[in-house]
Amino acid sequence: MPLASGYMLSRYFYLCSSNAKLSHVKLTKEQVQHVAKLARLGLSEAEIAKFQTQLSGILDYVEQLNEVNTDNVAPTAQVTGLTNVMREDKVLHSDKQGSLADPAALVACSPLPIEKNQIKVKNVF
Amino acid sequence: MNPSSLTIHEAAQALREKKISSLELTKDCLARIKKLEPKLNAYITVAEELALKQAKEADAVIAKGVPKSPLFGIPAALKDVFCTNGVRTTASSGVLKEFVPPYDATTVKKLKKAGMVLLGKTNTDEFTCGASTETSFFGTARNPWNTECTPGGSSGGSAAAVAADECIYALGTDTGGSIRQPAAYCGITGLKVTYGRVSRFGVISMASSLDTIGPIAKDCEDAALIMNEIAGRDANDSTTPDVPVPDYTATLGAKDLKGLKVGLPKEYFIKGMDSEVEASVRAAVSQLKKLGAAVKEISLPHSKYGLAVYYVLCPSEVSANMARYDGIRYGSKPAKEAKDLYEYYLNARGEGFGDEMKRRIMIGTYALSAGYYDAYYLKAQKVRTLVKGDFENAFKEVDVIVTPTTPDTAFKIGANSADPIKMYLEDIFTVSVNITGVPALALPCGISGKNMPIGMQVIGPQFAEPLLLKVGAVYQRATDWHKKKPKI
Repeated sequence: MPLASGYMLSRYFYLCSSNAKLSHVKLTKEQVQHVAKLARLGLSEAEIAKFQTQLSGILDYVEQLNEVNTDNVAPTAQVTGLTNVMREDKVLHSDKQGSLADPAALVACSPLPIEKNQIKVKNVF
Repeated sequence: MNPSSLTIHEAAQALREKKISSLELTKDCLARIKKLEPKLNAYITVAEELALKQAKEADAVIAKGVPKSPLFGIPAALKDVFCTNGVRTTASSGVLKEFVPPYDATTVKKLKKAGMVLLGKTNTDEFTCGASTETSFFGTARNPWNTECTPGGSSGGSAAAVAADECIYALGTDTGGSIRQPAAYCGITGLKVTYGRVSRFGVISMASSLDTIGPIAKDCEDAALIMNEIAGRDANDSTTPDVPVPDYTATLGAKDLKGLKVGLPKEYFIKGMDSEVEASVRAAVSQLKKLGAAVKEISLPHSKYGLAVYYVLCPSEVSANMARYDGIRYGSKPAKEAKDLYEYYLNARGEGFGDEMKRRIMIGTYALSAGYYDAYYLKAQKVRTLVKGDFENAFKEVDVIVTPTTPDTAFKIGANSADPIKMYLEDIFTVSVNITGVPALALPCGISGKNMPIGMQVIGPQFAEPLLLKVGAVYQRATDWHKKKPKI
């Protein structure tokens, strides 16, 4: 693996330069396992160890947002300015009506068995 | 000159004058693909049979009269995140490696109506998460200017295919720079549109408050012709405002740039950036001045926080969007047998997603989880307001903002893969544009000593695409950087 070029490093330091008080977030193995469970993501032991370091690094990096005073600043969730976009709640059956696809064709995308136009999944418990 | 090296406007004229047929044009692109793909890996799927069929159909229509759209009968490539009815759409992921959508994305529907010949689907980082295509399940794409280098990403396959004349034009997506950075690295023209200008319906989502779709083309005129077909409101995408769609070619004929006010943000000409990139962009700015523009230095004071905002918002939204890949409604069945539904999810997602996707899903899930939401996602949304405010203030003083597209030319494949933060730094000059939702045009403005393309970015206010394309077209008439081709 080639080493970081001087330029890359200088860019890195440029970005972190104002970030004097890093709090150094350190995730525990248990935290990583808990997040993986929430995300329904099967991880190997090696992946858990790797993410413990890498996720901590990324969280450290974004900590710099705490330098910014955001008192009385409203959050931006979207930039279109649109609100409450409505349409008629109508089922469309054919392409001529503007339907997206044949329901049977959509269900057929599943890798699991299909019964009566429904996908058969594993038992929950 | 090979037909595949034509622009859309050149090919359209040749088709109109019956100097070439759509079939000849398509066959030439396919021959180019056959020759170069072992080196470039720009395509994941080549739809040869379909392309030949569509080309023959186009020729039959052309024989009867002149079609309305200049895109008629012109062969194109689509990034492999656009759902194409009956043509495999993988998002470069193991999760969707066998997915064949039963419907077309709105943009695909529109381009088909305009007479597109679909050559195939191009390589990208997995679910467009990356800056090099190295996270692709199908292996990295390579830069036609130097195959040891990345074409950039995530729309690297589309950019490489356009630069190497493996197609006449392509579509890409841009969430944090994914059209502009590859356009810069491959020496071509790419347009990141205003958020909501082009329908995202049927395009596999990455980060829904940032995702945009746009043209990857050989020059600004082509980008305008593509915009004429794809822009506009879509009932299936509620984030597309009902803003009138102009004729994007109308502004291109301007003789000069008199009266144009250009801002150069001092935060984008940083210590440590490549000196050749800086010199080329400054030379391009001088060229704009010669063409009549007035240039002044401006400040976008929150620029340095753009990347941190992005790397909270993006993985958070990615983790939410990736929740749908549960191995039930689409995708492949996991190899490992599960005892219940929970284990089935773990297996399907654990086996299907690559490293970078897992990383972003984990970061996003953490940032959105109870107790952390305010500290990360909400905080980032507030800083987003400030980054956006910087641009709004700047556009009170200037019409467009010019910056380098990237701080360096294309990097060697593998150089950034060990450290995720180093790879994330690739987006440093492009992410703030997505955070703000404004449009930006990336166009070539130089060649480095090592014969690699250099790009500049022209940023405008919301829905200012016609102005950006005008600036680009006037610049391209005065220069020939966009005509440089890689020797491959």
